[in-house]
Amino acid sequence: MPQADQIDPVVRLSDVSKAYRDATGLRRVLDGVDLDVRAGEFVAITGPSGSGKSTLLNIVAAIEAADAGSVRVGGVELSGVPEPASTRFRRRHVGIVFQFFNLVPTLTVRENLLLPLRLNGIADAKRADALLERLGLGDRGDSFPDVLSGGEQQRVGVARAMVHAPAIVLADEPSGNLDEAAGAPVLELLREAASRGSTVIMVTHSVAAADVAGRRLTLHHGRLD
Amino acid sequence: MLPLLAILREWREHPVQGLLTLVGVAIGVAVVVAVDVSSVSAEREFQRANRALQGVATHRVSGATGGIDEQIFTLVKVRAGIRDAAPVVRGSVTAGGETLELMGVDPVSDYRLRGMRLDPGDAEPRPFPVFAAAALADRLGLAVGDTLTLAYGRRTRDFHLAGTLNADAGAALPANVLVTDIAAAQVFLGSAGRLSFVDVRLDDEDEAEALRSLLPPGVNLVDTQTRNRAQFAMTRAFRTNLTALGLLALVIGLFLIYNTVSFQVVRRRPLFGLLRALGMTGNGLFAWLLAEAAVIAAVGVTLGVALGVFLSGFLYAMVSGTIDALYFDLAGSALTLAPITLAKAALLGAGATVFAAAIPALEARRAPPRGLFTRSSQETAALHSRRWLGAAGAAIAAALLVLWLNEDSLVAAFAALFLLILGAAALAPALVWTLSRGMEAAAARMERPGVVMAVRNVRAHLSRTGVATAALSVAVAATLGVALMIGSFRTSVEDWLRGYLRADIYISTPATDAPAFTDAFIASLRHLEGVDSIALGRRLTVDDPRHGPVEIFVLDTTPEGFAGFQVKAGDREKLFERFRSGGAVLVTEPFANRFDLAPGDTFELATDRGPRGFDVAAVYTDYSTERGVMTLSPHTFERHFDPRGYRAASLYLAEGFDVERVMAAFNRSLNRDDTLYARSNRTLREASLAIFDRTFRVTGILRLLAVVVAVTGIVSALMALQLERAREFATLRALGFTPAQIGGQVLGETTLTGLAAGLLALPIGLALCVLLIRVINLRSFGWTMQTVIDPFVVGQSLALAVGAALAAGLYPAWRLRRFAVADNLRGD
Ligand SMILES: Nc1ncnc2c1ncn2[C@@H]1O[C@H](COP(=O)(O)OP(=O)(O)OP(=O)(O)O)[C@@H](O)[C@H]1O
Ligand SMILES: [Mg+2]
Repeated sequence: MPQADQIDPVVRLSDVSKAYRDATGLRRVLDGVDLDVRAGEFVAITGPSGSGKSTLLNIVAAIEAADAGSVRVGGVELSGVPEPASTRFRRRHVGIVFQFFNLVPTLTVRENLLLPLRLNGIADAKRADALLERLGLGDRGDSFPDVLSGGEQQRVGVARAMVHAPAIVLADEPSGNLDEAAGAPVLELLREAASRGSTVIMVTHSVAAADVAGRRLTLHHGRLD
Repeated sequence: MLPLLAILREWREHPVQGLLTLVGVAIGVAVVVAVDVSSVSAEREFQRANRALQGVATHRVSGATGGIDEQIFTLVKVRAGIRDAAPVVRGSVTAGGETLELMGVDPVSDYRLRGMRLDPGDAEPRPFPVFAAAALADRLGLAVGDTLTLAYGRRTRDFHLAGTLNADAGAALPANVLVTDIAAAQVFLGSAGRLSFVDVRLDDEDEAEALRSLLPPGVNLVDTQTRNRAQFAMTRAFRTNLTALGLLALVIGLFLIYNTVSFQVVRRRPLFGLLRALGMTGNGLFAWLLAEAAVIAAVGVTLGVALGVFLSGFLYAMVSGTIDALYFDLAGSALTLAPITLAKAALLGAGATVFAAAIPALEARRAPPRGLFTRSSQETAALHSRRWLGAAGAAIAAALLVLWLNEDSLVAAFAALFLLILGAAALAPALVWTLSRGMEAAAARMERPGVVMAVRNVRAHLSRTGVATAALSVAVAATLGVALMIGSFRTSVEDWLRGYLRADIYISTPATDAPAFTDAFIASLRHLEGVDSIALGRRLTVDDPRHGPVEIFVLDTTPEGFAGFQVKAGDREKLFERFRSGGAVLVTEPFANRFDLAPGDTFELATDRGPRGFDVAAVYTDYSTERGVMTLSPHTFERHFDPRGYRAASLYLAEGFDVERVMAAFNRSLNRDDTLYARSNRTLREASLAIFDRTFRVTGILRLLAVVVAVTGIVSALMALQLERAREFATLRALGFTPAQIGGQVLGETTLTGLAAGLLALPIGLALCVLLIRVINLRSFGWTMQTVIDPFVVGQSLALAVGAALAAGLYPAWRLRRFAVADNLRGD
């Protein structure tokens, strides 16, 4: 379901670096990352734990700023976009599957899904139910997140990232807590999104999951290759 | 001890929350200390001042309404053989616009009785010396040897400051007393050959009986204790006020401490769950939490006492200011930190802190570790509010029972007040829950996700905001109740003044001991142009051996003037005739209450001819004094008392004469030396209301204090809560909420909480107002008054609650502007 106001979902990072300062000193997490993702492409990023995969996604989502380098999404240089325009951009065009789910505790499962729709002024609630059904959560719509299992919470997180058909999907280990049977529909959803023209960047540890993607990159010592 | 290290680190990670907890305990303790210290200090000063004047005298020999003959002193000293007897001549004089008390004493005999010492300077001895406390001399700008012009009525005379007046240890000098010798006082006050009273020290009741039998009729021996009791009754209204407010401070302090401390435990539940899961025992955790609470209590109480003593400085200034204005001129300004105050503060602070920590700590000890991981969800919130509801019902039922069982006990009324406040406050969580529940459907229809979340969050966070909400409700309700009571009181006083003050111009002497009007003066008043008729009055204090000081009012008035009495009880038929010439008297409500009188009763009172009975014909409304007044006609008065003359007059003008012009004419012709007050009906009314307002100023300050505490409570609770939601906010930001949207949600949430507190405060406030008017005031003073509900005051209270809660959301909302989304996504 392509949207009329869809952007050209190109993601282009060049020479991006990011470092954190902690008790032990400066840690260079990203060190000159270059990345080019075409519209409709499905890219999988793998890499050892702590290599900066989540950090990279955060930078693309504009919830964290790079220290240096250029991040262009849909042809726009992110560092040049002020608030609240960058929030509006993210709200409309980006869907994020969080590594640690991050469901809103005081909203039910269905309400968590409706959140992106309402934020974007989309009244259609059927999409949310259809999506829940597809992910095998049809009967959990009225539950609060704190009673769901880890895998169930993860699938709700996936559904919430996809429900408003964003042009860019950033998924941080979307099937990390799922068995094969439960993981399959998740990967299927991401592939479908890519085939409709969305750009999908997925972080994963699983070889099987990475195989579903069209391209596979590895983050190592702060660089992608 | 790694688990404890984890808990300690948690404190370090959340310094703001830790600080808020300490502030909560400290403020809760501080309010109680401040109220306590200032009222104990005021009382202490009052007693010390009284001690200086009264000394070790056990009895006072005095006339019923005024002086006694000098011969009485000789009689006491020589015929009765009393060693310690001190004669006093006294009167109210003015100096430099200030009203002072001039006491003529015999220094030798006085020193044996009173704690006052006269320390002469090196000035030449001259006639008409006065001694003043150093503070008073400073205030008047005088040094020893300087001349001081005193005025008594129209009479003036130069005195000179002969030395300073000092008080013995343990006594304090009232700041308005000048001491001179008997002869000088008699000459200046125009009472040659007479004394005001003789203070004596008697060894036992036999000696008292012997002396009594020697005294002529009209001269009484009054027990100082009886006098004192009546004296202290003067400050009773005031103390009632302070007690009520101290109680309020206590309730709010308790709530505040409970709230901040329990919050601090509940907040860390996930950490405790984890530690328990990793093997920390429930008992270990419980012990740790109690130890933690003990440390918080120790630091909080210390800070609180310091803060409280600091605050009490201000409070005391206002309290003693009010006492000065109303009753007595207190000189000292020493704050008394009584051990009982410290004990109370420590008990309150430590008790409430440990209790507040113990309840959630017990829960943490018993709960299976996994249960602790999840934060209070929708269901447990409902359970919580239901538990509160039960407590509320029990407390309110107990309050009503206490009231119903003890029909006229004031203590019971206060107990009921306390229970009612507690009970009603416990309704807060249930109300918040219901309100949030009720608004949810409407919020859902708005299809704005932020709104639903805000509404629902209010409920979900109830376990952590419930008590703060209750505290806010209590403070707002108390403010409302007291404000409505004062408003009702004021309206009643206004109405009463309008009916009671019927004359156009009121003329009075500035001091109560000033000389009476001369006959010539009264005749000139009657003939002043524009004056149609006049009424004359005089207030006197009868020193009754049994009742202590009793105020009576001799009133020579016309039927029209008499119609100003608002009769509450008694037969109105031919009342004026019975009053004027039938020996019947009228008493005010507080008078009837104080002496337990009803129309038809006879009141026995000392007179110049010995004790006499007075027939009470009616009880009337009068708010001028809480001690009560008995009004009688000149005819009745003169049958039992020596003529004393009048000191007040009210003028009724003939048709068409202008009040200001007649007053100007009076001042030109009869008041050239400006020794009398002439006030129009309107100015007198305004002056009376000004006194009323001044009386309640302390109440206003204390109310403000209560509100500040409650607002601090709600602000710290709501703020701590919002600060804790970083992860949730980060998620929302990542999903596309703008800072403004989340800020709006935060503010919406806190506002809704405030609204619930405010709504609950309205009925509680009204109930408090009714309780104060119908029970406490009635039982304390016998005053009945109308209940006036001022919608403005009601609206103000609601705005206060909402405003306070809104303020709590401002800082967290403002902080959202710069918020590291990625950092906060990963959890606490
Ligand atoms: N806010 C932060 N402050 C300090 N260090 C950080 C912060 N965020 C991330 N890091 C560090 O940056 C490195 C990369 O973190 P990141 O979460 O991107 O790793 P990751 O590749 O997603 O790992 P995983 O596969 O375990 O999820 C880690 O070493 C982490 O400790
Ligand atoms: Mg990661």
